[in-house]
Amino acid sequence: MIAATRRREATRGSIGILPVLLARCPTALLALVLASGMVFAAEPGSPDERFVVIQAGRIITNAGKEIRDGVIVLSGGKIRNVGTGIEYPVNAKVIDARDRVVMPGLINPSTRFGLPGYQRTEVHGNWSVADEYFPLAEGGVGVSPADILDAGYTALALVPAGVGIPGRAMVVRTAGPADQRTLVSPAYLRVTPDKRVFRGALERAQQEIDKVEKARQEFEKKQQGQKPPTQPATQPATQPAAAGTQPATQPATQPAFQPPPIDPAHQVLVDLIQKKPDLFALLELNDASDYVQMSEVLKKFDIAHHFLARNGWESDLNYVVAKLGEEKARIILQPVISRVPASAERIHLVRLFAQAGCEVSLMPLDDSAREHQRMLGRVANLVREGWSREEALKAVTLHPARLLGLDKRLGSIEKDKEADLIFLDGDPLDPRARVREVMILGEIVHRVDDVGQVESGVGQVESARPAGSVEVPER
Amino acid sequence: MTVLRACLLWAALLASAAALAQPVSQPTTEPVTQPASQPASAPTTTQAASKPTTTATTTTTTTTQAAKEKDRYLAVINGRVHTVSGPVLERATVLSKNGVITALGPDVALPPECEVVDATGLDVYPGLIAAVASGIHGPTNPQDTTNVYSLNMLIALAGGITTALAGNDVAKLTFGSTQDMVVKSNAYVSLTYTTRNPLERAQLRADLERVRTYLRDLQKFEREKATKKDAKPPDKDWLKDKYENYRKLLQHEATAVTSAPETHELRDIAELASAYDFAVVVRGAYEGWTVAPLLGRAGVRAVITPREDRYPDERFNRPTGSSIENARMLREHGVTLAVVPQTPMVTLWGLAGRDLLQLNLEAAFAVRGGLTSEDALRTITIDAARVLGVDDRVGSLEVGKDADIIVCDGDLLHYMTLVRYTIVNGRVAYDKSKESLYAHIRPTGQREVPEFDDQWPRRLQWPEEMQPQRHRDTEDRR
Repeated sequence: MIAATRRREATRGSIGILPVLLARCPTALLALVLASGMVFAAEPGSPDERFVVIQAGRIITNAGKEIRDGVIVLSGGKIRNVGTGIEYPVNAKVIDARDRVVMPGLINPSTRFGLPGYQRTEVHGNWSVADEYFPLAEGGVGVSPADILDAGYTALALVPAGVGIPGRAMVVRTAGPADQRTLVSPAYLRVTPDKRVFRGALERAQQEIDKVEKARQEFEKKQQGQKPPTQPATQPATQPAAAGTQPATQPATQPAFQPPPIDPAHQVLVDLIQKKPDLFALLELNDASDYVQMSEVLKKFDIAHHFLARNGWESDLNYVVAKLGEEKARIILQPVISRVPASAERIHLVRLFAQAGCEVSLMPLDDSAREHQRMLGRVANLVREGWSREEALKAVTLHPARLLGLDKRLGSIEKDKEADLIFLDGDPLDPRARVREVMILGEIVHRVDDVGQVESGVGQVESARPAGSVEVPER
Repeated sequence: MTVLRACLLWAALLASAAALAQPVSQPTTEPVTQPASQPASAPTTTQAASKPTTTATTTTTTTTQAAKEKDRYLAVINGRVHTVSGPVLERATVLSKNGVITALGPDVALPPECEVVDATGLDVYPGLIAAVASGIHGPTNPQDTTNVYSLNMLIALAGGITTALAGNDVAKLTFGSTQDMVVKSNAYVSLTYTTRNPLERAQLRADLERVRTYLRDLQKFEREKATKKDAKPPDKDWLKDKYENYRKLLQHEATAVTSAPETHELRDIAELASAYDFAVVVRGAYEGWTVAPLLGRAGVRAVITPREDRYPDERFNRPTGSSIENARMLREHGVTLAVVPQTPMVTLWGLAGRDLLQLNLEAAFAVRGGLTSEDALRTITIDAARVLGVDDRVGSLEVGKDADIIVCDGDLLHYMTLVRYTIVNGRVAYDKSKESLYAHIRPTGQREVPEFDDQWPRRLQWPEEMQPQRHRDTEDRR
């Protein structure tokens, strides 16, 4: 009886303090050992909805080794613990996925999935995909969200359409509650390979910075001129101090500095030059020459940037593999074995970039749902032709998350990360395997049953096997 | 903050001033070796104005690089060096520092950490210059729009070309880089002066007349300024766009270019150039041989294609049509010649042997018409550079000029010769053994014509007695 009350207490607390409680209470420990396996005896009636437990046949964590017959404990849409032989509350909802491989949801770092195309040119730093993205109550992005969930994608970075600097991207979940759909907005600045526009935009931004700086200097000079000459002794001492500290020493009656307005289309470029945190430009490259041309501009303007290279079926990017590797660049590539132009020579650019020291993320060849569904198959081909499997799986999950600045939240199965997971009925790189369940924030949002019937919708699909109804079989 | 920024600014200014100060002294030490590049043949007064500025800017960039990085040395050793502007040097070395030739001759000491290209038994030439070209660089502002890894550029480098006309700019084939790519911007002022459009013709003459009158008025004003108080400078608000171009022409700050293939067009443009005293480059000029003395007197420079073949027009009772002797006759009358192939681009669609890959062979065809080999070589090196107005930097191997060098496995005008290395701005831009284009052809460098063990169509095996007999006379003559 005592043990039972202790258990109830334990379920109210977090998983973290459970072992402590157990250690302090030998009777509870005894009860645990007596219970079947490492799991508490299922208590009939109200399961505690705050905890969801996934019993997985295999867990690809992207953080260390793969776990066989492991357990993932979730609460509040986040992963609380992962491993083998983990204790969890007796009345937690258990999802039996012992015939499944669980891995983090795939992330597409650059797509326009389902959004219309526009013929935009020149610089539009103030535009964002958020202006054109309206998540519906059901479905959300694109024409058929079920297709992209079927492919195993849980997050997309939607980019603005056009050439030049068409605006800023937006990172969204492919499903989930409407208020949790947006992951980052506005996200990175998209820059297409047009040296003239890119350099012109940065030069203009620098002019704006200089304009503000000049106005500030004039303002300060004017302030000095207005100062009464009664305090010359203190004046030189305060003068060399930074401009930011000056208003504090001045009397409150003095007007604050009003900076002249900055052109809104170039504001984001000003922020880039001033190294605003969590902001970067994604520079697209169509060929090796684009890298040479764009890096000329980057030599002049030191801004945070990553690359997206459309290697495609024919590519001369092999010329710049070493240079990008030296830079330790983060680069998004397409999952294909390319061909050297005007030759029959095949070249595994993805592997070469990874070996040179780049952090490679992969994106589908185009924005169609079909190509998203082919993604894992294409990755399998890259591994078949000599790339490391571990690296390849990270390239569709952890690396894009890191590139998008979401690696604290997504990309691997670790403690305190958000539970955007996919369940496959085989190895992810096995062409026979299929994504069977997609979980977003701890809720199963998409399921394919054994006869291929698809059930998809936000929060409508209940967990695969609710704990109350199904007994956990012993192994 | 602001004080710090000002300090940095001053430091930057001082540094740039120091960088500027160095190259100024450099040209003064060099002209000792220079005069070879300035023979009196061409009226190249147009370059006089632009010359100091171009050299100054290039040397500035190289010295600032040097301040940042280490000096970059490259030497081509033990080659047979065809300097073009001077003698042929046996077993000589060409040493370059940061893309500029610093030493030339048989006994040159190499600095440590010097990249060495061994040209033992090979021929060393200046990089070839395509006076007309398209498809190698980007259309406008080549440093911004060029695909620096394009196959066309690589193929042109394999053909030995290191400098080409790109739009209206002269640019180098800096494979994999845009550094020091543009040699000269706005190379030409383009003119149209044909009998087919009499109104345009009259307009051009009127415009030139207007600008010349303005320039005379300006001169008059300059003279009378001191003495006359009411002297006014001539109105110059209209002097922009095309008029500004014409002013540059008349003041020898620019060169005109026009297409003039036939006799009457050549005669017209030569007369116009003489009347208004400006430098002009004519393209085409396959009937140049009929008016060679006139072109020579007018100081016209010509871009020709020796292989161009046009029938004479029988309706005229004067010489018409093309001539294989065109190049020789123009050269004899002092016309500065550049040779370009019939298709001045890199073609991969069938015009084998008529595109920029065979620039050297196009020049060799001029030898068939009587031009000396030396002059034929000049038409694709120093004289082509002069036609483009960049002979102060490229076109020959001299101390102080850019290190644009090609290493060939034989005489450049021989049909079996292939380029082994192409060096642009002191960097190896093409290495035959490393690119898949020609690496498989004579990899060991043997020059014999290869024997095929099987041929198509198969040779019939005639019986001994039925072998076709050679004529006795032919045998004797051999």
